[in-house]
Amino acid sequence: MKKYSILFVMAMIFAIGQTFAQVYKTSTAVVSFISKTEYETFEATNNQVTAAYSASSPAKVQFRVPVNAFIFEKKLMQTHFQENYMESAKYPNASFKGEIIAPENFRINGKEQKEQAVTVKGVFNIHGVDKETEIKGSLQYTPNGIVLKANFSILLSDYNIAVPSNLMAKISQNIDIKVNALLEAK
Amino acid sequence: MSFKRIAIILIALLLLGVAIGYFLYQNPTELVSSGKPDFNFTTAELEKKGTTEADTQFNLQLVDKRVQIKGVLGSKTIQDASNSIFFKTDNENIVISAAFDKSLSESVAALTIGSEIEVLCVCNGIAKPEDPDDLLSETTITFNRCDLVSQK
Repeated sequence: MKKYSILFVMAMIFAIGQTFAQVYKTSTAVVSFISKTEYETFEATNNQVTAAYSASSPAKVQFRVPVNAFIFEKKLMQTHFQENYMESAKYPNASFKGEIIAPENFRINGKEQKEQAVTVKGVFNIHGVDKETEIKGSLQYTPNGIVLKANFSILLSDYNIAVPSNLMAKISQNIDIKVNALLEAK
Repeated sequence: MSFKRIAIILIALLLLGVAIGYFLYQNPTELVSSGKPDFNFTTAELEKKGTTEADTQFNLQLVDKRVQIKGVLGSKTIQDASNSIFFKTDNENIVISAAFDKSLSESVAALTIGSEIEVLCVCNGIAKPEDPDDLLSETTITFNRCDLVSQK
């Protein structure tokens, strides 16, 4: 009986831990991307990305990206990006939802100041297309919150984003994406 | 008409086309909204739209449209690259945010929390939680390329 009581208490502690896992959030994460070819370089930045990290087990990460908040230097690029490639009236948001798979049982302990490399496995939704993917990035606990950084690439064809044949030389199929977020405890 | 004259006209038209194309290509993105708004909303009206309408309906109506919003300033974030303000909402699960270009940093920094403001922006759309277990449990309505119209 005593054994069962201990197991019950342990299960309750685990359940409470899951329910009250600390969540860190921001509405001003920055995501930028660059398309680089021999002929042309396009880049855009978005400062209105909402992001969250949950110190649950496994730790979870989520991003929500309003597509139209990417700002290009040139108006024509902005219009083409929104209307022709991303079809933002139809698919106004991109998102990512995943779990930290490496290191195993990763936890931010609230003391660690060093940048820690992590791998997140999850699903991207871009242009209405879901794709499972793994992203390498880092998390760092600071007195101001958790700093999350990631650099990775996506293939336009994976998300049914068609580039007209006459622009193939100017727009790279491989888009480099950079994420930077300061997540505050909520 | 001589062949020479036709050739000159064609070359002139070609050059004009190239010049127009170059001008259009080089035209910078408007970072601050201007002109007449397509829609006017108070934050209370936006909150109601956000809760009663499906996201598809909301987005088809408002994405990329110029919207003038009137509401109470709840908080603001001043960053190097841009500045965001967050309107006060009755429902804590609805976030209405508006981003300004860095050229308006001083004006945004001078805004008083709790004051009634009016901004003209381009709508990015609404995003609602996809699942009940989403970490991003709030509905977000975001605007960018904003200009400050008034502050009371």
